[in-house]
Amino acid sequence: MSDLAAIRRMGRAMALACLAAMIALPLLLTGAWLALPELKRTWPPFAILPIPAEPEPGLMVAGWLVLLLPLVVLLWGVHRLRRLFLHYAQGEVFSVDAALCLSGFARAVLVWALLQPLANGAAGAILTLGNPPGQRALALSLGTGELGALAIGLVLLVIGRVMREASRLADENASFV
Amino acid sequence: MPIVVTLDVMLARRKMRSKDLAEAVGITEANLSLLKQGKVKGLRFATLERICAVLDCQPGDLLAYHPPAAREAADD
Repeated sequence: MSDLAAIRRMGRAMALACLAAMIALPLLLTGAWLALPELKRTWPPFAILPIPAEPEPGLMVAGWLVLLLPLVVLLWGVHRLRRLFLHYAQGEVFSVDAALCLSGFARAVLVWALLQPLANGAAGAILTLGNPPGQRALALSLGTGELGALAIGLVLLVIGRVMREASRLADENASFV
Repeated sequence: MPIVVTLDVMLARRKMRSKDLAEAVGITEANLSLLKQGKVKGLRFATLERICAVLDCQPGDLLAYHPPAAREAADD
C-alpha cells in the first residue's frame, strides 16, 4: 500500500474518532460533574475535596457552565483537527487549509491548557460558595496534563507553520509541467 | 517572460497534433496547452527529454530567449 493510500485510510479513521470525541467530551464532562458529590462520598481520593456533600443545584449549574468554557475551546480545536483529517482522507496532504487547521488545533490546545486550571479553580470555588465562611476554597493547580498540552501545542504551532511553507512549495511544484 | 516556448512551431514542422504529443509524452492536454502558451512556472527535464524524443529535436528547438529590450523594439 502506498503512503498516500495509508494516509487517506488513517485520515478517515481519525476524522471519525474526532467526531466521536466531539460527541463524547461534553457528555463525559457533564457525567463527571454530576457524579462529583457521589465520588466525594464513595471514593477516598475525592473525600478531601472541600465541596459540600449535596451542593445547591444552582451552584452545580454555574460550575458546569464555567467548565464549559475550556471545553468549548477544546471542541473547536477537535473540530479543526477533524477538518485536517478530512483533508488527509481526500488525499490533500499539502493544502493551505490543512496547514491552517493544524495551526488552529495547536492554538486551541494552548488556550485550553491555560484556561483549564483557571476553570477548575473557579468551578471548585463556586461549589463551595454555599459553605459557611472559613470553609470556602479556591484551589489552582497546574498539572502535568496542562504542561504537556502546552508543550504539544507549541510544537504543533511550529509544525503548522512548516506545513504552510510545505503547501506553498507543493503549489509551486504543481505548476511545473 | 523573456523565455518563449516555441513548441507550437516544432509541432507544425513535425505535423503533429497537440493531443498526440500529450499522449506520447504522458502529460495532460491542458498542461501541454499551458506549456505552449508559456503559462507554466517550470519545465521538468524529464518532460523536456520526452518531448525532444517524440519530436526528434533539441531543447533549443523548443525554447528561445528574447531579451526584454529586443522584445520592446520588436513590439514597436
